Amino acid sequence: MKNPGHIRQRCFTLVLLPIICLTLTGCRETLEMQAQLNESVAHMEKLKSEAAALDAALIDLRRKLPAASAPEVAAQKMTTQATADLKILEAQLTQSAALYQQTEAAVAALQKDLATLQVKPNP
Amino acid sequence: MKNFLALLVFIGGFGAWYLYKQKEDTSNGLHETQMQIENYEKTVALRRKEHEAITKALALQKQVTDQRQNLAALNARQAALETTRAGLARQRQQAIGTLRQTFIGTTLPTLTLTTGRTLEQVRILKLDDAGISLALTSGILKVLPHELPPELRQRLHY
Repeated sequence: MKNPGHIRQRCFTLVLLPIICLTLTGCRETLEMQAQLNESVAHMEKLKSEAAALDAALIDLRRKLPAASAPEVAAQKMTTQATADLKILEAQLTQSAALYQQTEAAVAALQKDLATLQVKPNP
Repeated sequence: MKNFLALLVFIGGFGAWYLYKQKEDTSNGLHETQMQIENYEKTVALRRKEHEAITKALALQKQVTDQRQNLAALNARQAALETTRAGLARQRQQAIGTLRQTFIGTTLPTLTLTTGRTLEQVRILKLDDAGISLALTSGILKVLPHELPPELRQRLHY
C-alpha cells in the first residue's frame, strides 16, 4: 500500500516538473522568436515605406526621361549622350573663351592705336 | 487519484501542443517575414539603382543645358565684341586716311627707298593704301609701301 503523499510527489516529479520546464523553455524561445519577428516586421515596414517613397520619386523622374525605351536604358543612354555632349561643349567653351580673349586684346590694341592716331600732330 | 493523473497528463499535453503550435506559428511567421524582407531589399536595391542612374543622367543633362547657355552667352558677347572691333577698325582706317591727307603737298629734301634709289626734292601728291605718288623733277613716281624707308612707313601707318 503506497502512501498518497508519496504518489503525489512522484506525479509532481514525473509529470508536472517536466511540463513546467518545457513550458518555461518553450515560452522563452517563443518570446525570443516573437521579438525577432517584431524586429523583422518593423524592418520590413521600413523597407516598404522606402520602396514606396522611391516609387513615388521614380514616377516623377521617369517622366523626365525619353519614353522610347525602359527607364534604365533611357537613363544609361542619356548619361552617355550627356557625357559626350559635355566634353564637346567644354572644348567649344575653351575655344570660344580663347577667341574672346584674343578679340578683347585686339579691341584694346585698336582703341590704343586709335587714341594715338587722334592725338597725332601734323607733319 | 487516477482522474487527477489523467487531468495532469491532459493539461500537460494540451500545454505542450499549445506551446508547440505557438512556436511553429512564430517560426513560420518569422521565416515568411524574412523572405519578404529579402524580396523588399532586392526591390529597394533595384529602385535605388534606377533612382541613382536617372538622377545622375538628369544632373548631367542639366550641366549640358547650363554649358549650352554659357556658350550661347559667350558667343553673344563675342559677336558684340566683333562688332565693336569692326567699328574701331573703320574708325582707325578713317583716322589713318585723315592723317595721310595731311602729308599731301609735303616736300621731302631726300628720300632713300629700300631699293637703294635716292630721290631728291620730292613732293607728296597722293597717299592711299596701295602706295604713295611722288612728284619728281623728272615726273611722277608711284612708290609701293614696302619700298618706303621704315621711319616714313611707320609715320604713314603702312
